[in-house]
Amino acid sequence: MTNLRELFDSEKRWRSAAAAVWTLLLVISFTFAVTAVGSFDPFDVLGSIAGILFILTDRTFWSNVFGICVVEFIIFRLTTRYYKVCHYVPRNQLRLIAYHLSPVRIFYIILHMICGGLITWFMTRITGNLVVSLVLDATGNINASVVNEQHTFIVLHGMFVGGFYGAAFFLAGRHIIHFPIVQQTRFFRVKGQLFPLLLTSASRSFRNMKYFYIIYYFFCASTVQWWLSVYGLPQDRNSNSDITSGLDTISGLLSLSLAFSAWFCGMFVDFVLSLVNLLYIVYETQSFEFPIEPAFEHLQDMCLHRALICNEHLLLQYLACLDLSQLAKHSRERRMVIFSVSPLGGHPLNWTNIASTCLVQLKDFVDEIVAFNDCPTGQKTVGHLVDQQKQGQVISRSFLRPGATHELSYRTADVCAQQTQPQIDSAKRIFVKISEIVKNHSVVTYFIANRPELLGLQLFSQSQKYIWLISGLSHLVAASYTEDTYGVVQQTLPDILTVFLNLLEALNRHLKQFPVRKRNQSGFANIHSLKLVLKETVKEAIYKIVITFDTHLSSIPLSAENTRRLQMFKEFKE
Amino acid sequence: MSLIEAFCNPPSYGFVTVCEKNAQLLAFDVLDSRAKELALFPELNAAVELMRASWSKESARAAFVEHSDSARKQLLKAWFEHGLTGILDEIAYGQFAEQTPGMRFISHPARFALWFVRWINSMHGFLFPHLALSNGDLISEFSTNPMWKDGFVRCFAWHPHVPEFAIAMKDDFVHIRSLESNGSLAVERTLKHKLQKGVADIAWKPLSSSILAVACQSCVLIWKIDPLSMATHLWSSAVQTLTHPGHCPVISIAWCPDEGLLVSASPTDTSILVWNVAMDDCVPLKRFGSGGSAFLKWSPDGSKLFSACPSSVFRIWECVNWTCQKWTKLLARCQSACWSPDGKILLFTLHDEEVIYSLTFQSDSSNPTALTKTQISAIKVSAVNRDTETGLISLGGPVQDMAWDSNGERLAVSFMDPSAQFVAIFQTSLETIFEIIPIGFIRGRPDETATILSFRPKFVGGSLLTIVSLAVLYFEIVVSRALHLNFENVCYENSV
Repeated sequence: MTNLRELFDSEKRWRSAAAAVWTLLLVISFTFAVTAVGSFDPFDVLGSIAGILFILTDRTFWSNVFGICVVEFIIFRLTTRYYKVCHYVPRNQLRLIAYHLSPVRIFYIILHMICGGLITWFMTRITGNLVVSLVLDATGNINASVVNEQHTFIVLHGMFVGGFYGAAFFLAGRHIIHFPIVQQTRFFRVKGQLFPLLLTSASRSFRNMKYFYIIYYFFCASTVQWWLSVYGLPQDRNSNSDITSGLDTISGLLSLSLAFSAWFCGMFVDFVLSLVNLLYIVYETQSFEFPIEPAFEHLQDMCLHRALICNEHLLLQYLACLDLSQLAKHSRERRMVIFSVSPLGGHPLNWTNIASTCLVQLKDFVDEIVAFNDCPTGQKTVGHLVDQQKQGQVISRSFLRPGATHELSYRTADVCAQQTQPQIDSAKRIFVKISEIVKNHSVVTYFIANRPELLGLQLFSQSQKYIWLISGLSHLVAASYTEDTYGVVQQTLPDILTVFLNLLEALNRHLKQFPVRKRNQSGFANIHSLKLVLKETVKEAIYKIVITFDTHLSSIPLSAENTRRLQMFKEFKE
Repeated sequence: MSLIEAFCNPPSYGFVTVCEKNAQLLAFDVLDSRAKELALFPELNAAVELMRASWSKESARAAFVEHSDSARKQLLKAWFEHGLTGILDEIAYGQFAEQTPGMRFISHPARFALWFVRWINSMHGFLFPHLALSNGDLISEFSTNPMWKDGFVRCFAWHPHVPEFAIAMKDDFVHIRSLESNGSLAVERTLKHKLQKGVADIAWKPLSSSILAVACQSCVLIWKIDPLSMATHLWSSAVQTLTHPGHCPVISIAWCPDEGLLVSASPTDTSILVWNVAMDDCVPLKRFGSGGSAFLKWSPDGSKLFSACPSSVFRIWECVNWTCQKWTKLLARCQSACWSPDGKILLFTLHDEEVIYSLTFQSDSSNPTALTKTQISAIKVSAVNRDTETGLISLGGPVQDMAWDSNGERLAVSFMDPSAQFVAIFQTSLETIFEIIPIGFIRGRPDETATILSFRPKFVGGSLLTIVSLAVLYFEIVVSRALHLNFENVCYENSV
């Protein structure tokens, strides 16, 4: 497994580096473009062009761009570790609250607030039209200076936008790496998303400004006082002609130029922060080609079938599943390697490795769904209890709540220990009794009882992986009809069909018990969609096999129930 | 030399082609009883049966006096259904624009605004003239159905696996009918939704039994029809709506043959959308400078996608990395196209051009994304005048539409006026080199013109061609077991 990890680490390293470099280049280009557009004068084209060229040689511009780039790089370094390929779904309400208020999130919001403020500050230094610095020299007095309220307002708005972005990052599930529907090249993916991203940033900045205005209006006085205390500055508005009325009044806040500057800087901050997300996800979701057959014995660990079961690195496992699905669809050459047999003994090692790996994972998944369908609260089933009884353990049943459905709880205790340590046992018993009383309290139960809908979401959080496995297997099976010269797939076909049919049955039952409500559970809506995609994929996979093999399927040994289900597919009635 | 010259004379006026036997098309007098005996399937008069069927079901509506909505209501409706472009479309081309005197003055600025909004919405490189057309005119202009606006039948699609077809009518109802084992037609289901307006295309999902996509003016509707359900009318509960800002009217849709992906195109949008239907999510494939997309054809092997543009440009996408090959400097915009069953040959025609072009792709297993090795050759179908008993008739000319059967043995070609009443049938062979051999002309009832051609996929024992004329569907049995004849003189081969 070491080789695989090394391979993955080196791949991940260059992807991150490339994403970081491109993010910084895009930030520099965007900053320059914004500055150039801002300084363009349609009545003086030549002068504008000269001005734009001057920007390129301007030291202030480059120093501030450098500042923005440093901030951007810090965000990149500190945040990319929080990206995940699948949602973490807490089991109960308490964990859900803890999850939403975790220190990581708080840290993330504060980090983005600071970075948002810094980026705005650098940006205002570049544009420099309304505001130059946080303090102004008071007229007629060289030593005294006053607070530049407008600049403070804009920088605080930048912080607000940054904080809002940081909060929405987890709540809206932006930290989840969604793989694209089709694998376009990186250039076209980024190109296609840049303009919509800019529009989204512009509209988001505009929509959220109203909240900032409310916050600023109510906390304005304290903010200004805080600034004054920090810098020890007098507040002298009348001496400065630019600032006619303070921003703690409604008339002062209703300045169009101020609103435009704030909106513009907000859009810039939001766009620049979103770029990190865009570029990182584009690079991470690029497909990676794993070798199917090791060239040497020591490279055995780097093969596709090993990567398919690598649970330690979910991203690696996802990339392997994606690779399997891609090769099954598009690469005849690689399919031929899978269908080949070993030179010594003629064993279909590659197919056996890949098929068994996929089938084991899918079977486990089916079992999990079936178990969940039988007992959605996550308690052990009766069958499980009987197994444990055989092992000589004492099991007691108790009904938790009157009026609730019959929930089984069990407590095990070692019989021998009961005899030798009566005192400890009695203490334990009291503790258990107290804990049960606490647990039975309705408020506590609400927080700590496992919620079936959350458990269901947890079960399907990694559905994308299974979607690729099913699609990959079905395409391989369909391709084997013409390409499999040694008949290596034939032996596994009944197993594959059985797993697909069982999975469909389990999914149908699950979706009947828990109908998909997409508007429910914000942040986890993606998992609901994945359930539907999974069901459609299984159906497509079975139809693909049925259409390809047609009448030949009747000779495949299947259980009576599965034969009946398959017959529905043959008649196109499913 | 025009390939049309190699054809025999078409059936005389008053004769109807019924089927093909031994590479000969059999035609009988309309009143001849043998015509009905030989025809395996009856004619379906869509105008009488389907339109009436949908009206008769609306019995409650008949009790109320019809009234037209006020201008304000119509505008509000357009705003909620189609957004900004909808409201501009309504002002510029709506009925009340002609009726209300004040509206006439603002209809011209509204047309300009519509043009501008569409141009801005999709970042078109140039100001294409078609962007100023109304939604209905856009579909009518670029649809392969020449009678889209006036005919009763707008679209037709065979189910890929079972003997069932969907047919979209002028009244925005979509009917699904199945053929019984004895060949008779049975009324099955009617699909109706409030967003189902201006249906431009319908397509069945290949890896499914019951999913039908309908391209409408403002969205794509995905109907899920339970094959075991006995319901004859399906309403909003069985439908999923796919919308994307700026992507209307949707003019063409195509399902990936070996996956669950759906692509949709609009002449006002520079992007083709690739939909993951179950996820309700799409990826735009944006390419500037060709004025949107007019129609899409996915190759039967799923490896390539053909997209024609409203300008003289078309693109061929490879479906691995989704890069495209752009074909420019054509003499006109693309009119129709079809793929061979193996996905290696593409036939296409240009608007007002009397030539069928064939494009051959070399298979390269080592690099599935390569589209560079292509050969192009041309088949002339220029107009030929023939003297017949009933007078001078014109055959061939600019091609209207083409259909290639799933066995790769028959190609049907319909022409624009004045040859619109004839459909040419060719025998094709793909075994070693691409061969195309004339068989004959199909003629419908007197003065009927062919509007839609469609072969039934996977028809056992030959090919089943469906021709939709202004109102009637004819089911032509084209038997592919033809006698071997010497066609050396007229055989057009691909230049190697």
